[in-house]
This record gives sequence, C-alpha cells and structure tokens, in this order.
Amino acid sequence: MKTNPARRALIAIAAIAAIALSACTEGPAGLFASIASETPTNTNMTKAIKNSSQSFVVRLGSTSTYYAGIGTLWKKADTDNRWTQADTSGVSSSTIFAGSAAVIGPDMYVAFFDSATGNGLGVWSYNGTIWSHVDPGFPAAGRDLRTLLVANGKLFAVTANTRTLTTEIADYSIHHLLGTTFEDTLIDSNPTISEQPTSMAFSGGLYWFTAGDLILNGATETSFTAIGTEPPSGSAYSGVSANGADIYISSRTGYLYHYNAGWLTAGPFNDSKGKAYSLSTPTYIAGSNVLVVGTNRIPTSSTPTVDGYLEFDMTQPFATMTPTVDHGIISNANNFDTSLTGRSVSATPLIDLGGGDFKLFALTNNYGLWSNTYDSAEAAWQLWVRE
Amino acid sequence: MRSFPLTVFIAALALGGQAFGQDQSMSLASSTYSSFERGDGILSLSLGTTVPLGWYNPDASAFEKANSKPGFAFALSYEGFLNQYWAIAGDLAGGFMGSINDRRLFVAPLSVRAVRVFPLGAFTIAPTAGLGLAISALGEYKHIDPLFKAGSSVLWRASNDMSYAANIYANVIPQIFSDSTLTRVGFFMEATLSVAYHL
Repeated sequence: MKTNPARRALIAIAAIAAIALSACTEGPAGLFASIASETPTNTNMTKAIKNSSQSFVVRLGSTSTYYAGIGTLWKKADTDNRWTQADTSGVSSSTIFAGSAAVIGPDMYVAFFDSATGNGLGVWSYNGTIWSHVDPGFPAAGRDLRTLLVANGKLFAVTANTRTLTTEIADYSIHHLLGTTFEDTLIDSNPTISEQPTSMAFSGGLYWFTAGDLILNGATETSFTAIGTEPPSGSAYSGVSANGADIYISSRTGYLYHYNAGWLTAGPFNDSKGKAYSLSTPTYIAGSNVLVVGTNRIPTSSTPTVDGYLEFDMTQPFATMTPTVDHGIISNANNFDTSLTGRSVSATPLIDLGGGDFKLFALTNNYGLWSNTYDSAEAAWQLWVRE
Repeated sequence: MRSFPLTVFIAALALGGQAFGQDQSMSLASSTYSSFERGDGILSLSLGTTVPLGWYNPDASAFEKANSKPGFAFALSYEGFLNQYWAIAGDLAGGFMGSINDRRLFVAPLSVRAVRVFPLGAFTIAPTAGLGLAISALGEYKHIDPLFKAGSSVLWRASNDMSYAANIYANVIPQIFSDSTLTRVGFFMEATLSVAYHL
C-alpha cells in the first residue's frame, strides 16, 4: 500500500502533540516564572572582582570604608560606587597580597604576603592615613605568619613552623598583641599545637578557638587549654562564633554544635544526595534570630558538595533544627537562586553599621563578593547583590 | 486544563486535512511549471538569535517583562512537499538566553509545521504555522511544555540545489503548573538565516 505523505505528517503532528500535552513534568520551580520575578543583582557590581575569591572583608568605621582581601587589598567607601585597589605603597612598593585583617577601634591590622613568593611580610596597622609596621621582628625566624584573628578587642596572630619538606610535621602557635609587640600564648602549657587555629570568638569571659579536631578556650590572652569535654563525636571543627552566652561551632563534616553550659549537636546537614556539606564559620544574626552557615569546598582533596549557605530559624530546638527550604529569612527563593545557589561560600562576616543596620557579606570561591543589607527603617533585608 | 489545546489541535488537523485535499486537486488541474512538486525536500541549517519578548501571567492576567537578554538560536529543519503549494516541515531547534542575572535559559522548540509556499521568481515566501513541544532548562530545573509556532521565511534560490533564507518565527510556550502562581506563557521571537539544500 502506498503511504500518503500527508497522513504520515499528520500522524507525526499528533504524536508530538500528544507528548507535549502529557509530558509536563512538575518541577520545584516555574522556569519562566522564576525569570519573570528576578530582581537585578549586578546593578552596582565591580566587574574587576566579578569572579574573584576573597580572604576577608572588614569595615574601618573611622573612614566609613570597607576593605577586602582580594589578592591585593581593595577598598570601597560608603560614597563610592565601585571597589578599587587600596594604596599600599606605605607598606611596600611591590605587589603584596592581603591575607587577613582585623579592625580594633580606629585601626585596621592587615597581614601582608609577598605576591611572588607567598612569604609572610608581617602585620601592618592602618589608621586611615598612615601604615605602620607592627612589631617588625614578628614573626620570628623559622615561623611563617598564617592569619590574624580578633575577639574582645584583642588581636591574635597564628604562625606555623617554616617547612622546606612536605614530610616535616607542622606545628602552630598563637600570639597576642600586647602593646606594640606580639607575645606567645601558651596552649596546654606548650608554645605550639599540631592543629591550625582558624577561628575565634569571645563569650562568657572566655576566648574560644577552633583548631582542627581541637576546641581551645581560656580566660586570658596568655594561655589557652584544649577543652576537656567536646561535643559528642565532634571533630574537624571549622569555625566558632558567639551570641551572648551561646557558642556556635561548625564542622567540615556537616555538623553544628551549640554550647551553653552543655553541648547540643545538630546535623549532619547533607545535600539532596546525602553528601555532607563542609560548613564555614557560622554567623548568628540576633535581630533576625537566624544562623547563617556557608557551604564551602574545603578541603579541596575531597571536593565537598556546596550550595551557597544554609539558613536556620533559631526559634527551632537546636538539636532537631533544619535549614529553611526557601532561604526566606534574609533572602527569598528567587534571590537565592539568582545569587549564591550552588556556590562555595567560605565566610559570611556580619558588619554592624550602627543604628540597627547590618551588612552581611558572602565571601565566595571564584564567584565574587556578595552582600545583603538589613535596613532597620524598613525592618527588612534588601536581598543579595553582587559587589 | 488540557481540553482546550486538544480541541484546537483537532480543529487544526481537520482544517489542515481540508487544505491538503484542496491543494492536491489544484495541482492535478495545473499543467504549468512550478517551483516545487510533490516529493521535493529542503534540508536547512539555521543560525540566528532568539529574543524573549515577555511572559504572560494568567494568575494575575498581566504581561511581565522579559527580564532576559537575546540569545543564540539554531535549527535543523526539513520540509517535505506534499504538492506545489504545501509542505510539512519538522524542526530540531534550540536557543540559549541569559537572564538579567546571567542565569542561562535553554529552550529547545521541536515542532512540526504546515508550510504554504508562494513562489515569486527567484524568491519564495513561505508562511508557516505548527505545533510541537518545547524542552526548557534553567539551572537544574527542566520542563517540557506544548509549543505553538508561527512565522514566515523568504528563500532566495541561488542555484538548482541551494537557497538562502531569512526566517522569523514566533514561539508561544504555555508553561503550566498545578501551582497556578508558577504558570507563565512565554513569548519568544526567532530571527535566523538559513542555508537550504534542495533534495
């Protein structure tokens, strides 16, 4: 029988139409609706840092200026539209990297590194006008500067032993700034420990540190001890923050811990495939009663899964709390989908702008610097935008 | 929800069938030279741009701005002639567009179209309309929806074997969700240039 081309075509049309009318698969979001409700996140973006990674953001209140370590030191005053490179000629005439920073009162302290060799150059303070080398003899020979930490208005520096062979065992020291010099801080009566301190907070008259599988605390800057009773099965701590008498600690294995006269554990927090997130230092935002925790790619050897940040409504019981699905406390589902979803967020520093206003930053790996401002006049977060 | 498109589809089949029947009798009555004849085919590769025009929100009975930028469009099409005036065409097509926040929307409109040709010397005007399905992807989200396509091509016959064409099509894609707040009808315009081989 000879096939009629018209009939064949009509059958094809009918088949396609039948598929089209029956194959609508329900997803969690309307694709077109999602695009239709997008709000611009790139309006005031600085293109030069669009795909950057950042090591810190601080605000020097005396000059109303933000500073960020994006390789070199960058700055943005409240009156500026864009981020620009800060003038560090008072530190060195060559290119130098800003690895970490802290603000205490009217001064910003920055740890600088040689851009060519990666060697630590030391710590400089900046009052908005003049750079001053802090304790030029620090770190001592045989020690490398790793990071600066701050809490309770006190500046601490972490150093490691200089190693030329990868087989050499690393040890780490904490030093505190006393006047104009860095003094050693003893840890369990020793000048060094085997784990690197990465984060610190101050609560209840105690300094708290996370250092790998250790949690340290102490009442004075001169000596700390590894705490005797850690959270059950606690390990691989990544960061600590405080809110009043409450201590919050995160881990690289997806757990959050809370301490207030006793430990509570929440998690592990996993992605949809059951793989645990590596959590960044938690940020507690008291006014919004929310805990924000970045998911990051550290350690790179195990390539942890990432999805921006987790947001917890802290009116939930801690031990059974779950992250919000729509990120709706400081953002919303669409804003999250158009900003940090699927990205590695290494830190979420919160900066108090005074008058009830706050700016929360999200430091990312190769996805630029993001911020979200809480406007007390509107009593609302203004959503994530790209810096 | 699906009864209306089905009704439209059945009506289109009925009208299309009538049209094909009429044109077959016309071609039998014609004995003059024609540009195309039954059994001819045109295979064309098209490249150009796809422009998101906007979204209709049936829940709010309002049009919403596109919030996205023109992107890149491509298509591989085949037209099979039923007679000297009518052809049936099929498209494998795709288009990439960026949202205002640089999210990438991919839409693949796959369609079957009825084509009416009007030869004018070396040129041929070919208005067309059809149905199909559109596969959309935005990040990890994907959806398959019905597609209505209409437009026209202008072909310039460069040789016996080859033509160049300019095409402009409108794609209407109703993306329907059980949560009606997520339902939108997407309107897209494709403007492409083709190189077409006559088989």
